[in-house]
Amino acid sequence: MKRIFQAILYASLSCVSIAVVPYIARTQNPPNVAWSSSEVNVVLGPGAASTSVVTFQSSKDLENVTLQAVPAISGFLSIQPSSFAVIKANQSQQVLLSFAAPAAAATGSVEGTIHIQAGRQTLPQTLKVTVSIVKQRVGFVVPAGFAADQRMIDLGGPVSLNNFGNHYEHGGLIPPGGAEIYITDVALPPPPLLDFIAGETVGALTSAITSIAVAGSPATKVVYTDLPGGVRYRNVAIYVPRGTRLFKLYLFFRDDDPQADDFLAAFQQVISTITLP
Amino acid sequence: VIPRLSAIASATAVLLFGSSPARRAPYDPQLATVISQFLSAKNPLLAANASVFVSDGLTYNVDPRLVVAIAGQESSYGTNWGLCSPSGYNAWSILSSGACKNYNSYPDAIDAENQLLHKYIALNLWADIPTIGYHYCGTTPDCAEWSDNVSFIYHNLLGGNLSDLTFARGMVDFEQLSGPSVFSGITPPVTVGIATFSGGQVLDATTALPVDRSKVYGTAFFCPGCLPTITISFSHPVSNFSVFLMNGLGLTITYVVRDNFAGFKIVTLPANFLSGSGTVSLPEQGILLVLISGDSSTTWDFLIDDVQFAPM
Repeated sequence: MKRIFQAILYASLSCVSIAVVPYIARTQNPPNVAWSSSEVNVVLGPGAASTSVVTFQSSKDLENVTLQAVPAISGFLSIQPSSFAVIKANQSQQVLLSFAAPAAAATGSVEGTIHIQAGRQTLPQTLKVTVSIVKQRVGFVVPAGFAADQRMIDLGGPVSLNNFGNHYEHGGLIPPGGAEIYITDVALPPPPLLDFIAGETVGALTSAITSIAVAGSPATKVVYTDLPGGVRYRNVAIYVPRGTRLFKLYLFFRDDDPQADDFLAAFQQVISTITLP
Repeated sequence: VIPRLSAIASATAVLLFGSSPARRAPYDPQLATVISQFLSAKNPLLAANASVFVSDGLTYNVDPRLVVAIAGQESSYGTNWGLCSPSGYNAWSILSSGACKNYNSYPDAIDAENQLLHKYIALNLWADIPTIGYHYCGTTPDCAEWSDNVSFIYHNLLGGNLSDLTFARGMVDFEQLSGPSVFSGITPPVTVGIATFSGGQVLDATTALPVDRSKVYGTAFFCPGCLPTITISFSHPVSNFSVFLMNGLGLTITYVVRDNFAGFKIVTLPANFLSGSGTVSLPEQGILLVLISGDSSTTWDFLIDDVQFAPM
C-alpha cells in the first residue's frame, strides 16, 4: 500500500512539474500588447467591403511577428501588413483591416479574433472582430459602443445600430442616453428630393439642410427635431441618391442628451467608412 | 384585448370600391366612419376622436387603423388600463424614462402616437407589424402575442393592409399619361380618378424644366389655345390639398393658388433655370375647385406635378 501511495505521489509531482515549467517560461517576461480598440465590428452586405485601421504596440521588442485571423472570420478580411520582421517596444504599429463579404454571403453574425504570433509564441492579447452580414449591399465600421441589432437583421429590416442593447422603452422610445442609427434604401423618388424630405419630416422642425459627400456621391444632410410619443428627439438624416436607389442614413437620440457630441461623432464614423453599391 | 369581429365587411367593401387610379392604397375616405362605429361600443370617448385618427393619419402618413389596433392591444381601447392611468389618456402605453407619458387629451395622445409611428413607418424603417412589435414591446414572453393581436385588429377587424401601413393621400403624378417635351397645343380636359385638369396639356421630359424630368401638366402663353389658368376640379370634395408648382419662365414670377372657398396661397418662384418650384398647400376642407395662375395674363409659363389630396 505504501509503495502504491509513493508511486501515485511521484506521478502527481511529475505531472505538476510538466505543467508548471512551460507556464513559468511563458510568463516570466511576457510582452504586453495593447490594441487601439478592444474590438472591431463591421456590417457588410453581399459583395460589400469596408476598411478599418487599428494600431497595437508591444511592451517588449518582438521578432518574426505575424497577425492572423481565426478561420471563422478569415474569409471576410485581409490584414496589411500581416507580418513584421521586428517590432520595437512601445512603438505603435498600424494595421489596415480590409473587410469584404462574398456575393452569396448569408445574413447573420460571425465572431472571431485576430491574434499576434511572435516567433513560436502566440500572445494572449487578441483583437475581437464581429462581422454582421446584412441583406443591404452596404459596408461600414460600427462605431465603438454601438452594436448591430441582430433581431432587425433576422426580420429582414434595415441595418439598425444602437448603444443600448436593443432595450427600447415600452412603446418604442429610445431610453435616456440611447442613440440609434439606421441605414436603408428605397427607390429613388422623382425630383425634387427636397419634396421627398419634406414628406419624411412632417411635423418636424428643421434646423439645417446642407450638401455633403458620402461614399463619393453628393448627398443632402438634414438636421431636425421632432416629437415622437411627445418626447423631443434630435435627428440627422442623410440622403444619398445612387443610381436608381436612394440611400438613407439616420441618427436619432433624445434632444437633451449630454452625449450628443459623442453620438454625432459615432454617426460621422459611419458616414466616413460606409461603402455603397 | 381582442375585440369582437365587427366592421370587417364594411371596411373591406370600402377598400374594394374606394380605389381609383389617382389614389395610393390604403387610403380610405370612409375610414373615420368605420373607426367611429368600431370604437363606439368599446369606448365612446375614443370613438368621438375618429376624425382625429384619420386627420393625423393623413398628416403623418400612418394608417389610422394601426393606431386604433395598438390602443386595442395596449389598453383595450382605453378601457383596461394596465401600465398607465386613465387621466393621462395614454391608451398606447408609451413609456419615457420608465414612466408613463401623460397627455392632455385623446387628440394629444393620438398625435403623439402618430408622430412616433410616422418616424419609423414613413421613413421605411419599421416596415411591418412584427418589426413594430419588437421595438414597441420587446421580446419578453408578455410580448409574444403583441404582433399577432395587433395584426388581427388591424387587418382582420379593420381591413388594414398588412403590407402597407402608410396612409398616403391620393396623388396625381401624370405618369400614366403621354405628351410631348414642348408645348404643342391645349388638349381636352384630362381626368385622373376624381380630379380633372384643364387649361393646358401633359408634357414629358419638358424642355428647359430641369427641376422635374417626369410627366407634368402645364400651360404657357406660346402654347396654342392654352389658358393662363390651370383648373383642377374634383368630382368629390377633398381636403389636405397640395400641388407641386414649377415656374417655366426665365424670371421670378408670383403665383396664386385659389380654391372654391376663396382660400388662397401666394408663392413667388425663381426662374426655371434656377429650378424655381415649390409645394403649395391649401388648408380648406371640402375643396371642389382649384385655380392656379401667374401674375400676368399675357406672358405665362408654369407647370404642376404631384397633386395630392384626400377625398372626403
